[in-house]
Amino acid sequence: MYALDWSPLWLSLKTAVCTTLIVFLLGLAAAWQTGRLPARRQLFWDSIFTLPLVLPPTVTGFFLLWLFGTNGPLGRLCRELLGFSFAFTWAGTVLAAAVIAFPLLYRSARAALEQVDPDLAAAARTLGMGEAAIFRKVLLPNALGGLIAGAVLAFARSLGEFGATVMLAGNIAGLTRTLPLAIYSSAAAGRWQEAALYAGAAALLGLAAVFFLNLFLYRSSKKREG
Amino acid sequence: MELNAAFRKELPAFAVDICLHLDSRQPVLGLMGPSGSGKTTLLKCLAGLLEIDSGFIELNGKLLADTARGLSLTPQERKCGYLFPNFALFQNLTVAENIRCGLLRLHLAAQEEKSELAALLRRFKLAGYEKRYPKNLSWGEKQRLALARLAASRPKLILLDEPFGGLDDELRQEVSGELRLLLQESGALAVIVSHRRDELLPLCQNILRINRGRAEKVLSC
Repeated sequence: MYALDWSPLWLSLKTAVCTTLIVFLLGLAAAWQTGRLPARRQLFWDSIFTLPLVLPPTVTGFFLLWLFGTNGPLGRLCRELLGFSFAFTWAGTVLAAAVIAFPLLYRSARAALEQVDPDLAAAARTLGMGEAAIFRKVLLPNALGGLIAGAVLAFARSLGEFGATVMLAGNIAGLTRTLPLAIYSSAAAGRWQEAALYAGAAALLGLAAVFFLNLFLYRSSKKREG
Repeated sequence: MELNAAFRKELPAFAVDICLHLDSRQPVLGLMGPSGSGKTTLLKCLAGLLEIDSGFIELNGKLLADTARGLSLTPQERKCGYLFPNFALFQNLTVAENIRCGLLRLHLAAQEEKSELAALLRRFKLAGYEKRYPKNLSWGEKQRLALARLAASRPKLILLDEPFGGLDDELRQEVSGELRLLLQESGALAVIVSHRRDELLPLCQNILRINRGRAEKVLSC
């Protein structure tokens, strides 16, 4: 019996937590701003923001590598201005997971903001409240349930991210080898026991995320009825 | 005090095309008409919640909207008080916080805001309810809260959409008295939407009947 390398688990958790925070803020901002656009432009941005959900993750990863790779247009910019690289670094796993998980948060936030009674924002406008105050005091509290559901989905999705991560960040043990990559590597090398332990850990994490989501939704629906 | 408006707003089935005049001698106009005749659309156009397609709206000598000049003030800038049929109370905020949303516009100092809030709570018989949430209020209390919030923002034009809802006669009397007092105290111009003439008679100087967006008949009360 050998000691199991638990670094993939910590890497995955760290990546998923960072990704969820980033995607929550960006997805929410994108959903709010897109919802305020005229219908046609809304359609355009909606398609762009949903794209990573419908593309195969390896395709998204390929585009990310092309953009942020060492010689990619944005990769070079990052390196020269910030001395920083996304290609084959831990930041790359976060970027890849964030792009893949973004549509889940964005779409949940759009739906959650849209189901808020439009009369509430209208009433706030006639009272003289600014758009930022309306967002903070009226829209956000009334859309919270849907936003949290979206955040849990984004968290779970980034835990499971494989295709885009392997394209952009590679599969470097201890650096970018997250759980799904570790499972693949172990199984490919014939280390079945190791692969099974990693897979078990991944399944438990996913289950926990969905369980807490359901618990939260159940509680908030009870609160609404009560 | 004067409101002059003549505008057109296209709707899928017809267009609201209307000419309005209110002044201090006839400050309150009733608006009647069958369901879907454009009453709410008209109010929303005045408040700036909908953009007009052509025409102008002028309140107390100030243009709120004028399509010929490409001018359209935001609802925030128009300073109209709007009562929604469902009151549109902020469910996540307490009674006091709801009213404070209306006071924001006045940019009061903390102490002044406190006394203003207390006065509004007393005036609208909500004292002691400060910390309650709207869902724990009765229909009448909800309406008084909506009116208190509206009055807090000191509107120059008050727009009431179906303030009588589906009330029984007793409550209707009470609401009618409440509204009359509010209109007198605020000294603002007002447009009140209802589909019953007897509800409008005690409050309005004139009643405009509209059908498919156009004025059908003007009644003097």
